[in-house]
Amino acid sequence: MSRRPWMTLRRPLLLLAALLGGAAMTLAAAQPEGDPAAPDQGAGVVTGPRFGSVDLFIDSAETPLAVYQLELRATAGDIRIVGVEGGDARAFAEPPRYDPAALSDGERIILGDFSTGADLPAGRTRIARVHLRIEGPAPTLELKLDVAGDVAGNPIHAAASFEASFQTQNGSNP
Amino acid sequence: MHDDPHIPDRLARDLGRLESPPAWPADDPVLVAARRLRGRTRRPLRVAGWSAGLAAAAGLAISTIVWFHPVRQGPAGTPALASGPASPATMLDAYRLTLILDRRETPATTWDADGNGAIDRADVDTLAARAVSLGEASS
Repeated sequence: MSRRPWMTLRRPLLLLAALLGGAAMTLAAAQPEGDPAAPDQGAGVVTGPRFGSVDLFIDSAETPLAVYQLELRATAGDIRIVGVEGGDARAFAEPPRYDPAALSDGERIILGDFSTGADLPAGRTRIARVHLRIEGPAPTLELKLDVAGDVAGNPIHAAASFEASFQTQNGSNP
Repeated sequence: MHDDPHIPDRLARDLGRLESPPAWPADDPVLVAARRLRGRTRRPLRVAGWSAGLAAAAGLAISTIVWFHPVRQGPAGTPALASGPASPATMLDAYRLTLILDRRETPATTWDADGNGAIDRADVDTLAARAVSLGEASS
């Protein structure tokens, strides 16, 4: 009685299948579960208009801040200013004064406010937040402190800074 | 007694010198040099005298001004506020006018930002609006 051909190949086929299975399991174990550095090429990409915010800070050192005026502008990028909020300190919790034309002009705004209250902030304090609508690449922003004053109305030395929070085109935060 | 006392000639000559002009001539070189030296030494004294007088007068004038027009101090010992807003106006001007109005002081007419003849909170708003105006601020 002669053996059938598939019977003669059965052992090598089983061996090959076992090898392929082992290799597949090894590769699956070596593959990380997720790579945060790799951009998600699917639903996470932001391609259209997006929104962000810019927190504005003034550091008046030890002098209580009673009045300020500063200017925020985009030197590069396509932005539109869509809203203004107040800051953290009670004295500047309300939205500061600004020209309503800045919301239609878009790329530049002058903010200013003063307080005659007793709870004036000293040191570094967030005095306002500006909301932006962004198109295209991440914008380049510039902040200039026009004036800062103490409780007596005297100009004081202070420093202005900002922290931007908006999504870039690939969906990550700068 | 002697009705006509005899005075020695030498004594009579000396006594006569006391009542007469100096015996030496006016153009005597020693006298000229002495006069020149005297004038040279008295001029600085004269200038110093004038300077001292002027300094005293200036000091008196300054003291009078300070006494009758002292620097105005705010309630917290702050220096006097500006006499008017800056150009272009800043938020500091709006704040200063607020301080003036809160203290019920009489602001100068230069604070009449809206030009209506009255200086009140509306002028504060006008100054604040100018300060943040995109049209008025230097870009």
